Amino acid sequence: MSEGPAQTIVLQSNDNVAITVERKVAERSMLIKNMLEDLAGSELDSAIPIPNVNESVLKKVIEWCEHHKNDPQTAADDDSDSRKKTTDIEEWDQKFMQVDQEMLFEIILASNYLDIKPLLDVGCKTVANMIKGKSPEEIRKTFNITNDFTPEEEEQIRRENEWAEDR
Amino acid sequence: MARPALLNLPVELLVHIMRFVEPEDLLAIRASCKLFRELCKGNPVVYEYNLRGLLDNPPTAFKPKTWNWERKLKDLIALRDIYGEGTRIESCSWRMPAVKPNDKEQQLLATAKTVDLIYHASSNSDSSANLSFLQKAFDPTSRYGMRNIERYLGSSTLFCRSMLPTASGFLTPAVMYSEDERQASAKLHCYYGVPVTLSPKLYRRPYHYALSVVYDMRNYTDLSLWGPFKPDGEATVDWEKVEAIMIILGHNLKCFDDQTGRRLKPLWTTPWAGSQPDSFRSVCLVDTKSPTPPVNESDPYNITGSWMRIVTFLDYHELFYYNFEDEPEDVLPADVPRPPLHATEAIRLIIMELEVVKIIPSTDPKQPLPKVQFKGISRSLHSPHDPNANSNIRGTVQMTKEGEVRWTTISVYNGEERWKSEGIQIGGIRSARGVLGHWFDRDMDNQQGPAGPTAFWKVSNEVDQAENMDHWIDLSTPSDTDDENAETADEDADGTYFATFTTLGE
Repeated sequence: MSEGPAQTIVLQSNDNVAITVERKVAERSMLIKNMLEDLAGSELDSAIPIPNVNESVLKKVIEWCEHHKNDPQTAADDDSDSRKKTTDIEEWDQKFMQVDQEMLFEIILASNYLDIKPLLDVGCKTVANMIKGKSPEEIRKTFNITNDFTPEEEEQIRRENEWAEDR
Repeated sequence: MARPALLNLPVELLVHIMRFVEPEDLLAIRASCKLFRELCKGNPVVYEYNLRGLLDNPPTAFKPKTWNWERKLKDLIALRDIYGEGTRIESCSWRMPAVKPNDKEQQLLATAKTVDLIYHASSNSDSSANLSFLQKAFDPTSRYGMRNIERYLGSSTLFCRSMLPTASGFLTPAVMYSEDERQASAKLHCYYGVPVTLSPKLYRRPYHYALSVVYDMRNYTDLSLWGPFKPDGEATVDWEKVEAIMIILGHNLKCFDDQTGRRLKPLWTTPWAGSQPDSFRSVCLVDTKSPTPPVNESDPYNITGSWMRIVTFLDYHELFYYNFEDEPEDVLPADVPRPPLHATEAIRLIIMELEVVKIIPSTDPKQPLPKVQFKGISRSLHSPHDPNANSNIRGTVQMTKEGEVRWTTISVYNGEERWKSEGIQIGGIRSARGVLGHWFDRDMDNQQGPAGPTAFWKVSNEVDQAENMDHWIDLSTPSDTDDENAETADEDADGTYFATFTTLGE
């Protein structure tokens, strides 16, 4: 491992903006981390293009990585059964996620592409919290979804969500 | 590219979001639009992911081929409705709640779905999400815990009878609850596994009512096989009888502890724990590094090893007087229970060391588990070094028609069969909870008893030749005088009766 002054690398958004970040921060992204590991030894003399993410989203993602740069790396597979059902989001992340829906979904897509699992989970939990306790109609309103069911389908759904059904 | 919106996210991300909502929310999501409905239909895994940490993935041996996570999700929502843990009934006005308030079906639904939840719980009681859910729902300090205990564990005949007239309004149990409801409540209480205490402002102590069930010799008939069964000849479990046995033995174990200062290894103290199949965990009796695995792998009941047994009984004069001394005009109609019994029982703690003798394959395709014969010895914990204390024991384990594990034991003293017992194992095969049942005279023509309650549970797959008692009870405080104190309950007992009975244990 290299010690000494923090190394920096340059990321380039899909709208051609170059952003310099500390390597440790960028390595919150498993995509970038693996890429840098593959390039180990060779000098990085050019910016790393991030083709799917624009400047404003990339800056937002970097802001998150900056804040969480010292978090312990999560286990590779946290899908195990031991995973506790929790939708708790820490306070800083909650504030961080106070963005419009468009940005929220951009962050989710970017963290998925960049493979930043903890950020992806925070984004998905934020959406989940927007769904919780709502009726189908309230969900539609929240996410601007059109009710595209026929009356027959609506009736069938109502029956599906009842308990009196014979089993 | 389309503007980012929820519906434009890739399916795998939508599935990921859905694991963070509550189960109830999944029903709302799939009812919001076609995309979500199709997504749930096409990816049943959303139900499984959503339930992680809320429901156990059952052990393979107990997971049916027809296992359906969507159905389990709805079952869990129903239980959350019933036990008030969801506390979302009001906010889910778009969805029919599982049961309507005061619905007569409520008790039956609660028992059926709870027993299903326990049957499919992880075999490790400490880490089971299913048991953890139930423990929270019945935690007396929680918002709904005490209500659930009274409502769902306290509706059997025994509790209805123990209700003070001011609380019951002089109603009889039959008026308060149907036969099915009372059975279902008793069954749930047995699975809960810790005798409950209800408000003394509303209820008298249930112990005396339990005595009036177990020591009523009218309940010992050939059709009920003299066990805690219904009189149908098929060993269908009568859960109200099993509940009475549990209450009596729980009471006696506690008294034994209090009087002797001895500490029995904790038993029947953690609600719901150990009432699922395969939950038995062997302790080391001999000095080994890790617990011994089951000795006989072809025995599905894991019989071979050491078992702890408790037997209690009534002074025979008292039993006889209670049952047979009625004046002709006072003889009770068959459907009227005997009055609550105020009496002191005697207790015996016994170690059974059993081994499998023969495994007889099942001929019933619907019930593939075999009938297994075993033999062994039983010896008293009170005076383990008395050479006359030992008796031989033999018996069978088999499945009943309704799928319960039925244990029959026969104690043999000097070649003569003396005492018999019939019981069922709470929680199915290899459960930690063990067996609750009746003991009675081998000669069942003798309708005059004696008879009483018994329980046994496995301690270890090993047999400890050194007869080290530390595994069974904590002997840190007691002395010889304590040992004698434990016997004081027997003092006024009929000599002959005890001499013969204690040969079983002592």
